[in-house]
Amino acid sequence: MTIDVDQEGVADYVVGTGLEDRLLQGRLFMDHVNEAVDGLIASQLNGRMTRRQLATGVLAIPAVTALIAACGSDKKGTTVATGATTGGTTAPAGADTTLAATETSAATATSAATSAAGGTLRVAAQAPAKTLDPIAMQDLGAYGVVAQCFEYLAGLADDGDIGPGLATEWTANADSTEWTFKLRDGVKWQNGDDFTADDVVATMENIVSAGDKLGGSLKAGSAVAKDATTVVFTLDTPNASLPYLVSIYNPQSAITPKGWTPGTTLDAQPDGTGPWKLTKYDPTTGATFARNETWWGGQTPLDEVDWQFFTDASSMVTAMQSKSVDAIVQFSIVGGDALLNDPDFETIAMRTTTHREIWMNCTTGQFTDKRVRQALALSLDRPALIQTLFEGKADLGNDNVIAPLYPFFSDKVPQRVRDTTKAKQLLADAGFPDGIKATLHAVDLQEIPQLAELVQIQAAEGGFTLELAVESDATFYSSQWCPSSPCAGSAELGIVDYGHRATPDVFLLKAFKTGGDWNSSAYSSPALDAAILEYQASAELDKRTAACEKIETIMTEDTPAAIPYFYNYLGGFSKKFTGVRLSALGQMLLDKAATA
Amino acid sequence: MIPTVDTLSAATIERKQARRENWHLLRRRPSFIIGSVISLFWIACAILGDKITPYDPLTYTTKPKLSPRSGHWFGTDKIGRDVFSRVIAGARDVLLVAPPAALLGVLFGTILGTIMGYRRGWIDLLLSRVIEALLALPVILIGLLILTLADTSPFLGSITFHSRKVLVIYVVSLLFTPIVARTVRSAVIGERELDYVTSAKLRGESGRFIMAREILPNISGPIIVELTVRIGYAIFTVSTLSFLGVGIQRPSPDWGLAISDGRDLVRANVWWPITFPALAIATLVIGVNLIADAIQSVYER
Amino acid sequence: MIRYIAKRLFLSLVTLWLLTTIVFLMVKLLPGDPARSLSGAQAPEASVEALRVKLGLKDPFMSQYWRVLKGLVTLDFGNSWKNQRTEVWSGLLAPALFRSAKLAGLALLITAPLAITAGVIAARKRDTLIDRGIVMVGLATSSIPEFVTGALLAVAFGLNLHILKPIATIPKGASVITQLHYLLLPALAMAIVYFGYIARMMRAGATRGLESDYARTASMKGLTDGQVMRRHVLRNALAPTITVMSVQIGYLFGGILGVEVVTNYPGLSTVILNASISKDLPVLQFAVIVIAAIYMASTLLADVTIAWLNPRARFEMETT
Repeated sequence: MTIDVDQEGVADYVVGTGLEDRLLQGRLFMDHVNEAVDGLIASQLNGRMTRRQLATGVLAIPAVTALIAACGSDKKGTTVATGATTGGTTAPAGADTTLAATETSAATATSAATSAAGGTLRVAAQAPAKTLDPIAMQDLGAYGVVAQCFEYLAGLADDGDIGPGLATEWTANADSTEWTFKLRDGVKWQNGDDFTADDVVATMENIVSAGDKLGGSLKAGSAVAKDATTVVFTLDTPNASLPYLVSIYNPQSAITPKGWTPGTTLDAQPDGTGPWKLTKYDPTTGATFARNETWWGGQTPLDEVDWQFFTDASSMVTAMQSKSVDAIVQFSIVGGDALLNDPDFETIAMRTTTHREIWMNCTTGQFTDKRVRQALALSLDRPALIQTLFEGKADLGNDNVIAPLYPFFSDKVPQRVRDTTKAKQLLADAGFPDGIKATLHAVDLQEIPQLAELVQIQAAEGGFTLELAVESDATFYSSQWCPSSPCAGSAELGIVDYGHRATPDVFLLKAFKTGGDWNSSAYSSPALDAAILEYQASAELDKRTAACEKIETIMTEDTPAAIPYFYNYLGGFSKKFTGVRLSALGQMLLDKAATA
Repeated sequence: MIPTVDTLSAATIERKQARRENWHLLRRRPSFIIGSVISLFWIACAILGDKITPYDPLTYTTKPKLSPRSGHWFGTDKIGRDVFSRVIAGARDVLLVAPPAALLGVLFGTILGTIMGYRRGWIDLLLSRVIEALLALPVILIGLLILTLADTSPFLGSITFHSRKVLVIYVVSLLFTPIVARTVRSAVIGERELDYVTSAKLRGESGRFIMAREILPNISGPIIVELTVRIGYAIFTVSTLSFLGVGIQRPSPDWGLAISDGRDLVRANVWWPITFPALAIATLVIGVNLIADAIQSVYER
Repeated sequence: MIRYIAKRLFLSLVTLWLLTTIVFLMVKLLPGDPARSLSGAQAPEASVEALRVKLGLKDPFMSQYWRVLKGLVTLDFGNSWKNQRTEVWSGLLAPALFRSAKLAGLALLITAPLAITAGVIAARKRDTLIDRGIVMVGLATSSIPEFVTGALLAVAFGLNLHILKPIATIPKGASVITQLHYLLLPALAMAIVYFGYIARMMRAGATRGLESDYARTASMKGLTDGQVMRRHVLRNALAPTITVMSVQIGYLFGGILGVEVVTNYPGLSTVILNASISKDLPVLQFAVIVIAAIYMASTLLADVTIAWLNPRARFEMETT
């Protein structure tokens, strides 16, 4: 059963991105297919295997989807399988299900990776936009730095899904309202204290008091320490994907020591259970980390990690290209072509659920009628957007957040295709026979300015006269997108960015559920809220898929936001190194990195 | 001597004659001719804009990043728009913003400088210090400061598109005001002790009349020079502000914007989306500066 | 002379006070809430309010202003608002100033001798093709914004020819030679822009010098062109050039944002850019003062140098 899912994942991906020719030429592709068939994703990087699915007989699975990085030229392009992820489903039957279990010994992993000890690795990363406050941070720059020191209950597995982190295994009761996390033994804080269940409970209380509440799943007292190495989460509503909300894919859930005051920043109080100790932090130039000799995972091959900050994405690529740095956390395909063709560069490509939301305010302004919103969505030429912005390396979006990558994605909801005649008709029906004039706000980030320009051009043919306002992130996030908290007063039309999540919970709960923190569409639909609850409560794949079909149907019909694509995340490193791992949220993990 | 109407008009005639003479000299200067040809070319592009471009400068017409070829002489940009059409049409916004900004800056600066130079006293003292203080900071930096602070304010942040251009005009003119004021002030100080001013005072003319009718016409030379020099700087400044993302906004084919947009492509040897706009900025600024140069040498003869 | 310098220093203090006031008013009067933009749109109102209190934003207007003035006098601006553990001077500005100084110094070192030589040659060969060529090159280089020059240099010499480092992030503990290698590209971009200004000034000065009576007298006395140039013309022609260069030094420190962005070199203007985006008032204020102080110091130094070169200027100086 598992295996089928995996195979389909691979096939979908290949077709979806039109890479067939290149891939079929590459021997690596076949290797990966074989691995996929076995359900084992053996990473080239360190030989650590995740046998979780087979070992536990769990169904739904992340799948090897990503695999493929052969983005470069046929001759030089290299392939690293770093999985993108997905999942969030659990047990087929039976009361208690172990979701993550088998864990290969860290020591083995390390020794496998260690070909040459010592050395420094320099990383090019976007400078953190704000402080290194593990709970309040919002940008990939901060996520990356914080993830060097602080760890999560669930970490990053080699296939890109979540795997054992500070918790070694977790189980849920039958209706997923009670989750038990078994914590790792022998973990120490960098200040010498032992890591215990109390730290986890304190962190969760901080998260609740800061207002985030893991997307509304927690309240004060939800997390309780059963003993020193066991934490039990009791939830009001069932949530089968809780482990994802306390994983590296919800960066704000980093485990901090007890006594940590909310608002404290990592640089103010360098600590953590992770492999690296922060030795120097300068918000403008970078951060350096030294090996944490007491890390539970053993000794890291590298002595030191040097994060260099950039304010300009373009200079980051230049730095990588000129070998001023050894790794780059993220780059975009437009302008990054040179890296893809660089024989010394190992690309990490991940199929992800990273997307852009072209939100339309459903309660005030000209977009309150859903026909108007549908008209805008119908004006978009999605394949053209994907071709121009990502050279084809993205999945089609269907104006809902259930990405095709998720195993519980339902393909029964028809894909919206461009139809400008229908768009104009809908506008006329909604009372705008002469079209609509509006301002499209967008944040100046990655491909978004170009997306805004393309949307403007395409929407013109559907009857929309859009003016563009591309603004710096400081302006955009404070005056156009959710200017007040809880989210209210957003612009009537805007483009905002959403990073990859292993499950769509955060997208659904924060951006589309009634009253969500990031609900810039001011959208409220009892039907969707009910479908979200149903999704969260369903532990089996088929039930989850059924719930998702409802979500997809409602969102695509109501179109609170146009979501044109889910694009592939690109990062990479110099071939002088091995073992560099990367989440699609800017968290570059270097515990196993070594000089080649 | 009591001045009569005749002497006044004699002065006017004299000035007119001098102006004609200057114009005559100017027309013969090669730098003026070359500068004018370049500037007029860009002005024509700005006026005609998308009427003469082979493609719509704002819409993608073909594949992105095509190298220069027949049909697309300057290639296409990141999203498939014709670079040649965009370079031609790109003259419009910068020429809509920069010369008015320079003009306003010179206007404000002249008023301020004349008052300071003529009145002297504590106003002059205070304003001189403020001007010195402002001149201690690079122009781009102040512009950036005002525009980013304006960006984060809900009121000014909501200004977009055409009115954003108006904002940029005001900001740039504000940046130029102190430096123009300083130049004009020293010119006025040079004039105010001269006979014609004294006699106007004796005649009982108001200060305002003396400043506007007597002094200003006599310092028109330095003001005109200042204006042409400022137009060159304004183009430079507006382009830089657009490059930094706080000037002219998308989807304008503005050159500074195009350069900041196309910069990351250069690494993959896609050089055309930035090289042609760069040359456009350079030629326009050079053209204007050549005119400024010629005017300066004629007036300072 | 000493009285003159003392007077200039006093006026500089007045200027700094004025600038501090102007920046303070700008940040205060333009709408917008620094505490909100610092904590992010999603932060709960309670924590934003706490930050407002902590930063003293709720204090009366005058006491906030007073605190800023006290900072100016004691040169202690406290900590950055954005990164509250970072001391403004030691943590942000001093390193940025040091980086800017290295870059500006190198740029000046490259451009000054070249531009002065070019200016003198142009003056001596006045109205020949060489002269016109130099004038045109000067005009062209100073007409191209530095971000264009920087980007084009990075492509040509950094990525294609591999001669220069396109990114000026200097590795830790690099030797002086390595540092120079990394700095060369941004320095060149700046040098190219300022070549035009300096060459032009020098040409004008030298032309005036060559046409002056004393130069004519000297050559009638039988001195060679070279001797005339060295003994008489250069000395006088240098004065306006030094003035221009001193003004440019201020600009080299703070006005080269384009180059800093293109080469990822976090100098003073990058610090100001970031501080103004995040409304980090202490950083903004102190950075503006540092740049202004550099400008004033360099212009003062220039005037003193001119006085030393030219006794007549010294006399004028002492009498004003």
